[in-house]
Amino acid sequence: MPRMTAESRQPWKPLPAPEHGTAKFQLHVERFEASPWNVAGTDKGWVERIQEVHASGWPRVVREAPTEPRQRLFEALGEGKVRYLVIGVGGVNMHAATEGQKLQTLDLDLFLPLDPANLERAWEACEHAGWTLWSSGEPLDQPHDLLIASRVVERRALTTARAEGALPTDLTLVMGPFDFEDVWLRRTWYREAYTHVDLARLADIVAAKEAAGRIKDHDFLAKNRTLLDHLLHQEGPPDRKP
Amino acid sequence: MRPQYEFIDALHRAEVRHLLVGAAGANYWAFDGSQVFSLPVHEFLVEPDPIALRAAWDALQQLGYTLREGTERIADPHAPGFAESVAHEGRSTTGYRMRDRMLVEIHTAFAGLTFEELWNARRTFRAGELALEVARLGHILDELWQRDRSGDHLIVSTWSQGMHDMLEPDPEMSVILAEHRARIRAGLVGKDS
Repeated sequence: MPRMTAESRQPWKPLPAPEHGTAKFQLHVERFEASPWNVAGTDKGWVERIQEVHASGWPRVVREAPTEPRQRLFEALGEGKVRYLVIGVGGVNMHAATEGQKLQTLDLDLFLPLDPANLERAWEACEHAGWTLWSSGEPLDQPHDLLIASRVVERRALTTARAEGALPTDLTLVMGPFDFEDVWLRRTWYREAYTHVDLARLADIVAAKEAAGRIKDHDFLAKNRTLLDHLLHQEGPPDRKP
Repeated sequence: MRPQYEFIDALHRAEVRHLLVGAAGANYWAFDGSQVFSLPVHEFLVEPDPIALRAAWDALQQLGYTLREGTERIADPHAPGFAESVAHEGRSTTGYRMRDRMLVEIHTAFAGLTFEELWNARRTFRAGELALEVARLGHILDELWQRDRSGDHLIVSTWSQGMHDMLEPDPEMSVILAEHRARIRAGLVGKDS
């Protein structure tokens, strides 16, 4: 049996993704092209199925529409008394006042506290809703217990939930420099098809993206600065309580 | 059949050599939905040959698309020598279908590489029985980057982050997950454990 090391007790600090044009970027592309899911002849029909075509006019971006699996997931999280906050671009979209203000997102990010019991409940909720769990590119085998949840919390590792017909949902334990409890106190909420969803304030979501230091976040903020400033102005100071 | 597949099928039947390029082409290399951009435009690189180009245009028109170059509608029938000039000069044309708002871009040139170079490096995926001829991911991302537009740069940086996350995971997590699997096999994880 593999042994836990002292290093495994420390949070994982990933290196930044490489910029286009670097040797590392090129290497990643070549490895990705050679990956098992990109073997010639692979059926890629799922790629089109996952795309939601915007119904109105001439969209520059197409947003993710609420899907049945996502609905089931939020219901299960609520029933499991899981503490989470929607963050990321999916969270930005929940703050949008109109459909036209919604931005394309490729996944949904849920921020969870550093609480193994809560994480275990989140995993159970995901599986109850029909989603499968992955971490570090490997399936998270069932059943789970507090020990594996504790290890994941120690490493601040990401768990990704996947379901057919829905965009992946990341269960993240990190939101830039923010502590979960601080963001939780300032939280707001959103209602998705009668289901209550706990939502981080837009100001916190944007600040976390600014602090993340990833090229992708920098490009996202640069591209959408005007809209985000408008939405932040609408949000105002953190005086609303859920 | 999905609208974009209709056109691909028509190109195959017309024996037009073509490649899926652009962000929609990159989508076919994705591991999961976190790398799939939903876009209103589907880009194709067609062999820069007037006969192939005319066949691609005919296919689009038969499917109800209106052809344009820039904002100008392309005359029907096409002006003599028009296909030859588009192919020779590596220009792009578009097809738009009002009823489902499908936009198709037909390119005849691609950032610094010949069609044959791209064709020889392609990957053939499929959607059911339909063959999807897709340009190399590296070629697509390089070309998107060279467009020097914020939206395209965001797509490239999102791809870079996605590949990085997939290919450079936390090595300790593999150990932790293996340990968990071993504990499951040993019956140490479960409701009664």
